[in-house]
Amino acid sequence: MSATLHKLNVYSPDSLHEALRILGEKGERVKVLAGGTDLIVQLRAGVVEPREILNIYGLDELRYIEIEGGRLRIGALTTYMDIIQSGKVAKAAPILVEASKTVGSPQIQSKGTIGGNICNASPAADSLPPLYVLNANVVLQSLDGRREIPIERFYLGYKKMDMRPEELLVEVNMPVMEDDEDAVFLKHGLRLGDAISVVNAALLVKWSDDTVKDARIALGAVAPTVVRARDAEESLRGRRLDENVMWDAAEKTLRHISPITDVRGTAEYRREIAVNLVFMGLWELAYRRGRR
Amino acid sequence: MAEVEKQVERLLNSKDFVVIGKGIARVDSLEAVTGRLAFTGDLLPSNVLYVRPVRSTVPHALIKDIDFSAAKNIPGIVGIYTWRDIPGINDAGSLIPDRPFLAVDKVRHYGEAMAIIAGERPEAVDEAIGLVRVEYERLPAVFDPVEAMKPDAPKVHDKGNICRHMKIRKGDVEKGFQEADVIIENTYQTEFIDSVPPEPEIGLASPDQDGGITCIGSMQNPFDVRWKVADILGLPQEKVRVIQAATGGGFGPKSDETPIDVCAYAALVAYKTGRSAVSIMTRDEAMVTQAKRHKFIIKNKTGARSDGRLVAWESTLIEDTGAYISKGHLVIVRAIFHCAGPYDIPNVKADGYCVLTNNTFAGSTRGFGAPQAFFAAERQMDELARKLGMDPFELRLKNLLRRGSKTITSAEIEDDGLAMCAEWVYNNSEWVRKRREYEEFNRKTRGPIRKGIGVAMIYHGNTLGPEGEDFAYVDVSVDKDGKVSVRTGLTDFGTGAATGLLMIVAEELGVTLDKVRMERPDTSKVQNPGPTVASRVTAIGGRAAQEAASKIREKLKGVAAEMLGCPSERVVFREGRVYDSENPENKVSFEEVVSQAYRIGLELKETGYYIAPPTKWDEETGQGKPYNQYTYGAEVAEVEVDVETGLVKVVRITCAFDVGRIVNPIGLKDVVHGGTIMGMGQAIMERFIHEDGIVLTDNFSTYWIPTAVDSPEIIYHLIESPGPAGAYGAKAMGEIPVVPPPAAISNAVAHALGVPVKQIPLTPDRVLELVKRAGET
Repeated sequence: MSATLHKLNVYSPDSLHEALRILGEKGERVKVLAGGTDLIVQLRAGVVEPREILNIYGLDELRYIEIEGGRLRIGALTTYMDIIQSGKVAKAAPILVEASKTVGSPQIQSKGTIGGNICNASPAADSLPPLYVLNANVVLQSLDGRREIPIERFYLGYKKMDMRPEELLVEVNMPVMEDDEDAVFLKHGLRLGDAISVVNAALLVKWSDDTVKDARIALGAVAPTVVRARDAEESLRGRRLDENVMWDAAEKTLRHISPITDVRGTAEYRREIAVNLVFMGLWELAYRRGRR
Repeated sequence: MAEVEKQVERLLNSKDFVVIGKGIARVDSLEAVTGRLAFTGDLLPSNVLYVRPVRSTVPHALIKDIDFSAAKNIPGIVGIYTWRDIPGINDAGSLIPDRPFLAVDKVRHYGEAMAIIAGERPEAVDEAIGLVRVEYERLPAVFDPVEAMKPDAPKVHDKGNICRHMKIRKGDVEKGFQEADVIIENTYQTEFIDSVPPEPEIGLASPDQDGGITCIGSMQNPFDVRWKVADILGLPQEKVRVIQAATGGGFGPKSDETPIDVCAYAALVAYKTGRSAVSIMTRDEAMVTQAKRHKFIIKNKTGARSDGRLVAWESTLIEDTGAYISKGHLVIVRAIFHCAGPYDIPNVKADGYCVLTNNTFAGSTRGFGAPQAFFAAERQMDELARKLGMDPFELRLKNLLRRGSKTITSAEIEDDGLAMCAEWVYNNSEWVRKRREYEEFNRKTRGPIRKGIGVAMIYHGNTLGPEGEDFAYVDVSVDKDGKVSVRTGLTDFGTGAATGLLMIVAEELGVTLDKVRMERPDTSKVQNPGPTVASRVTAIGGRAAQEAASKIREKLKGVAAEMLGCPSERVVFREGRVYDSENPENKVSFEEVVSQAYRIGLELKETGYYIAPPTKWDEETGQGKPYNQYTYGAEVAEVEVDVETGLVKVVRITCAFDVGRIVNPIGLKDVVHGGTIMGMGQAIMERFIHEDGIVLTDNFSTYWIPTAVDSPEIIYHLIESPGPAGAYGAKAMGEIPVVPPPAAISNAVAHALGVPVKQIPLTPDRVLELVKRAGET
């Protein structure tokens, strides 16, 4: 039932450079440990092949939240709690605060990191749909240099990422939200507290008066990776959000998702919830717009 | 009865209590919150051996071969043991000897223990277990109790799969249905549930110098553990000593068979190696193996007159007990005795079947079959109300068991506790107004929320009744300094029961609570007091505590009378003072009296014993008096159902229970709150899933229990209508609040959506199915 961890070698470098050196040397033979809230559980359950561990949790240089050149930059080891408590994130990307508040329990929020959440690549990760609609980039670094790619291109398939063995994810950054943009995060779990998403969704709308100038919709836990509902987005452009427009967009979400049946819900149930969540999100955005 | 007469009767029944009825925080709470309470895991010696079993990965198979060769070579492995190494009897069944301690040639469920491995470090043991190769020959298996009842179904044991058929035959049910104006018939279903005590099972065993074994563990029943460990080791009972350490939750499974397992794993290794050994279950191991709440399929057919008067009730109850009987043969008895709700019905026929399958075994869990039975009965009452076009509360009031009514076993009800509970809840839940308002809200709303309000009523036959001899022993002694010690094999595992016993002893001796302390339950120090199950400790154990303490008080009375120079019947013991009732200024302290008693050579040590009157019923008809008294409850649940996500939010629970006598109001508050939330989990969330016998929900990431934010507002009221069997009239209460929520909440959801609910838990996917059905009708 459970694998043993006591024999694993653990490297705990003091600097990013040292970490990248170990990663360059060991490549796929090491597994990177950030907050450990997923990795330790997976190792114990035997889901992840036990390898050597590169423990980067001590690298304080990867803990930061900055706004610079119109972009919000978040270091990979920034915890959900850091994000929840950050005034900068509340201003530049409030949807990320909303999503972070729904992750697990306060214990998980204090230990789990945004970089870890991105690299764990769970389709149900709560930070990912917001990062998709915020057009975030991830920054990968190795001894050879840095490269930056859009998050949507980072994921290639279920738990598959465009990341070379010697690379470490060091940052995620995104444009600061504009005044005419509004976004909402919705999570459907099976209870109110400490729940894992059965379906989650992020919606971002750029308004021009009462019409939608642009919309981005991302859903989690309904496909091997987070997906954008592009047909739904397209159907909203230039429209006012009346009930028919919203239902029509919500229904179009189905074209983009391919959920599975598991212990948390059937595929059919997830399809139904996905449609309802998109409708609820649009309704919320329209309501907020109308209130202004 | 006139109001005045009721008040007079209440007054005559009341007693001037000094300690009883005052709110007392649990006596061990300070130690617990400061981390000083010693749990078994805090007591491990440095050289202890770690022990874990090798468990089956298939639900039903012959074991053709087990290869330990790779496991043996792991450094630090000290021993590997199979059934061949057992010196005594290879059985770990707690009442019925049907469950091999270590599987011999066959496994009957997923996770069954086949061998145990002991090592110097837990990591070495885990690694060795991973290297054991087992060759199975798969056998046809059965996972559905209805399938298992068919004659050609695969057999779980050598005999048939139906291990008990229990019957109720009252009046003439055919005639009853002929007299009925309305007849409805529905089938209801519940799921397996794991009660997840916070501390998983743990047992520590150490060899004694005289060839015996001492076990320390997390458990409800030290004497059950002693009995089985001694038998497994082939030792006389007195060679095995079992001490209950502080225990992090019980809920029934800790009275069942897994506490025996862990202590026996450790004890066998201690016996073989001469060293201390500990067996600690991981959460997934505990969830797979510990006794579950039974899954039930219940068919109810009900007949009533057009005015709502019940005339006939017929039930068939099918109980899935898994691969071993455990307490399944007793759970079916409690379920069937409560299957028609707390109503006066002239004609009843019920058949209950306890059925074996290749699922993991079910057994003792808080409520013991009653939550399932009341879910089906109380849902049926709401469906009947709908058919009759009556208010469901009015329908219940019309049929309620009142003083002089006859239960389905034809036992006469002797008090009006249920009517009092119903009346309080009717008024304080604002039933009439809310029922109307919510219906109107649902008609008008354009949003996703539907509101519902539902009611359930219960009665709960007290303590063991048909489940065993209902006796208890409690020892009380007073030392030279006037400190009082209470010693018993009855246990507290987070229930607050120990506090209740101490309050009773303090009350009887007229001392303050700080003078009284509870010793750890230890089989070498006390007699077997019967099991700590069935909400027995305060009601039944309390009688024994009362007897022991009052015997000592009577002895001290003689001494005090001489010291005070008054007749002994005038001596009063109160709050540490002993005085002449006619001249309270003529007083001595409790300590002075004790000191004088020791000087003249009196022994201040007494054993209290109590046995409840025997209960009798006819095996063929179920008619008779299976319980000495009943606890009553009425409960109203209010819910908000989100028709877009299927999530049910339980907003408020308004409930009343007749507890007979309030011993500790703070303890009762905790019991009501905890039980209500646990019952809510069964109603809307908890679902232990076997897929072809394989457990899919062995951790908190897949098995959801309610969290604090899921908890409803709970408004409760306690009624004191004293019963004949319990201390000061106290009735059983530990389990009872878990019973009504599945019924009340599912009735509220049915009201919100306007469709029948026949299956719990009401998880969001099932609720959306109901929403669809509501749209179709």
